[in-house]
Amino acid sequence: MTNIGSLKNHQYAHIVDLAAYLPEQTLSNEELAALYPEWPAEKILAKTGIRSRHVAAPGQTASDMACEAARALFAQGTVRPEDIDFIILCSQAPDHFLPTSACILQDRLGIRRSAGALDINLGCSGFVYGLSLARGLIETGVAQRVLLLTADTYSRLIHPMDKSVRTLFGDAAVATLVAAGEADSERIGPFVFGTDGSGAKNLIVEAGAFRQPCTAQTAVETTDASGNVRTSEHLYMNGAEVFSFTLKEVPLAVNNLLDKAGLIRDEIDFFVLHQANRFMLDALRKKLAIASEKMPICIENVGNTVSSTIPLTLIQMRKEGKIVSGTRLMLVGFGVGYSWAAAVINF
Amino acid sequence: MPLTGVEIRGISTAVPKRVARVADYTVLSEQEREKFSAGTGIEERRIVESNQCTSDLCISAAQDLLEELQWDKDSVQVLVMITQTGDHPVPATSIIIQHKLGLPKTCAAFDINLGCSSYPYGLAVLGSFMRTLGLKRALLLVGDVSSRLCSYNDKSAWPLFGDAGSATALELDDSAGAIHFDLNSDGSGKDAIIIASGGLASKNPATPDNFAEMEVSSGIARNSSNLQLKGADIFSFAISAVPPSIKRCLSAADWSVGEVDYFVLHQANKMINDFIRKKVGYDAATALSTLKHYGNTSSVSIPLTLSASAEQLRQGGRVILSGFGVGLSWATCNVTLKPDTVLHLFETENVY
Amino acid sequence: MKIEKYVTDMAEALEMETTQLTAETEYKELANWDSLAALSVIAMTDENYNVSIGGDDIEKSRTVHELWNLVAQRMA
Repeated sequence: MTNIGSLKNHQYAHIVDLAAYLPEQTLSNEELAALYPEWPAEKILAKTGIRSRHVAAPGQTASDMACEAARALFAQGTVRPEDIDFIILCSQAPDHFLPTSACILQDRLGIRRSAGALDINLGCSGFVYGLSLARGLIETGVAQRVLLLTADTYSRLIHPMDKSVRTLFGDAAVATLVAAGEADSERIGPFVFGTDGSGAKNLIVEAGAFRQPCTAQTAVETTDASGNVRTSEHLYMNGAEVFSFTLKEVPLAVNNLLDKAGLIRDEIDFFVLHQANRFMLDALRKKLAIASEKMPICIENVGNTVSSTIPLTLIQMRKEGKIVSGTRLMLVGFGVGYSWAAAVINF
Repeated sequence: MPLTGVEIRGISTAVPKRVARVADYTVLSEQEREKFSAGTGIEERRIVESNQCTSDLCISAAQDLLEELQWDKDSVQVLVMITQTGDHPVPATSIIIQHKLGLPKTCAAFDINLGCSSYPYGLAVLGSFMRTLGLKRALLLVGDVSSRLCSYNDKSAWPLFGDAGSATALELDDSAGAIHFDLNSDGSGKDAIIIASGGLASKNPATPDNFAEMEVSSGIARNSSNLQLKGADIFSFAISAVPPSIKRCLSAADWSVGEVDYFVLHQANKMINDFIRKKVGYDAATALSTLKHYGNTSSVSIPLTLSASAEQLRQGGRVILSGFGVGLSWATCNVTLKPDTVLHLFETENVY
Repeated sequence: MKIEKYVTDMAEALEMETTQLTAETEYKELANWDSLAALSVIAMTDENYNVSIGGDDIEKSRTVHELWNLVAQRMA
């Protein structure tokens, strides 16, 4: 990919640093098993690969968590708030319909007013998309240091008696710094993207925006055939459909990206997939024919944290010494929308 | 640093058929209505029927534009939707639109939450995305159904807002003029334009009580799920922040005020825009406006105004676009439009 | 800058005779005070004094004098 000329020669966007925030309160399988009679704790672990997940405190929003993650990033010393000139918040649980939560974060974090700020509405594909936006802004010279925040409180969107999703999702936020650095070629990219709105109804919060505003009707609880309780203001997921979509599209995306990048599987050090649940990841690993050492799992103590699963996994890998200069990764985010994206990352 | 090589091939804007005239708004006395129109410049707006959403207006606009440009649907590689009034909290509206428009699955799609500053931000984000990834063709959809946010009994909000949805076709083209951006944010002003209560995971999840309308003051009654405006704060912010932003952009582009063919500001109200015009020092004849018949159309006021100005822009021209408001967020950019850029404005009742 | 000039400027912004407005006038009680009048005062203060005032400032100040005090502070 040729340098398009806005940066000095040999300058490309890259991931500089990451910091996570996990809310204090946790929800264990034991606590969930107490609510769901036919689902003992061991069964939940076996089915999902998750032992416990973090849950935002009452009144703590996704952008509150994003704020903590950003502060943790600044505390790591690689960047100061005053150096940031663009904020992207990826969340499906914003503080308000308007104003934009990223604008509020500009003020809370003491970032300059001449910084751009916007929210994007994506879930599991959000981190990879976010990297593509950040790269675009940096390599065209529109911004120099992008603060990419992923944060979600799916726990709030889930009905307490909907075990189909309550066992899976956890809350978290990660702050990622993307900036320009010396390199011979691109460090973030190439990318492949995927979108299929025919799958919207399979992972959805139906009521609460403008297609279906909240009414007395939308607050009515219904119980499905499996005994899960929810209203149309809560998250609904058709697990089977989502699983089927994933098995079809993710391998295609991975192969397309390898082709596009002119690489073979062996030239990728690690495949970091969206940590949806253990069962799905195992199925994908087999279908993709990837050795288990090359596909890290980071879900046992955090659950599916939506757009934060990939960066949380990167942080864990970094701690384990798996990511060093020159490590080449493929990141693959996929899910709600349906939306999916994959990228090659050269550290 | 300017964005180079990205061309606007066309902008199509769809508005709902229903007309709401200030003259018919009896919450205000006749004298108050006259004063309102004189001060804001608004005489009527287009508002949706209760079942028409932003996405419906944007889909209409996109279909019109694709047809006019004769773009093969399979050639669209990115779709970005900027709105604060999407279809569902989850998933993103752009993805649903991908499906309804019949765009390929390889098309990237995401939503951005911004309001009045949307258009310059949208060009910056989508333009830079296209350039770095070599994606030749993109659709930038911008729209809002703000009328559905307002309480009819709130005289400080109801008569201001109109609804619309626009589609802009962007294409990589080395002959395109450079676009300079000035992007800004100030969250300390978050309460100037806000919807206090929201969905389950929001700062203030709505409860059944929230739907009861409360009288805030004479002529202003609303519930916490309605839009709240602090007119004085918005005015104060706009007149102090926007002129410097426009000047910085002119300076970066090395354009003098006299070299600009048209200034297209966010259409909030006439008083603000006249004040900005005097401060920057441009001629009234170069200020394009759609306040009179379309009101404040939030995120889409800039593309709507461009769509409405096909005559003036037939030969192309140098334009300054400046959006400012909710967030607080504000942004200015300069664009050189080519002759015969498609500019359509039409009405639709379609629901998809 | 002196308060007398601010009173005169304010009368002009409110489209009133200067004799009808003093520093002690509780300007929000005037017959012709409304949201548009507030905007005119904000505009005048910005244009003539290069000072930004907002909704809260107008809310907090009863008399022209109190508003002027805020403006004078910000001019320093």
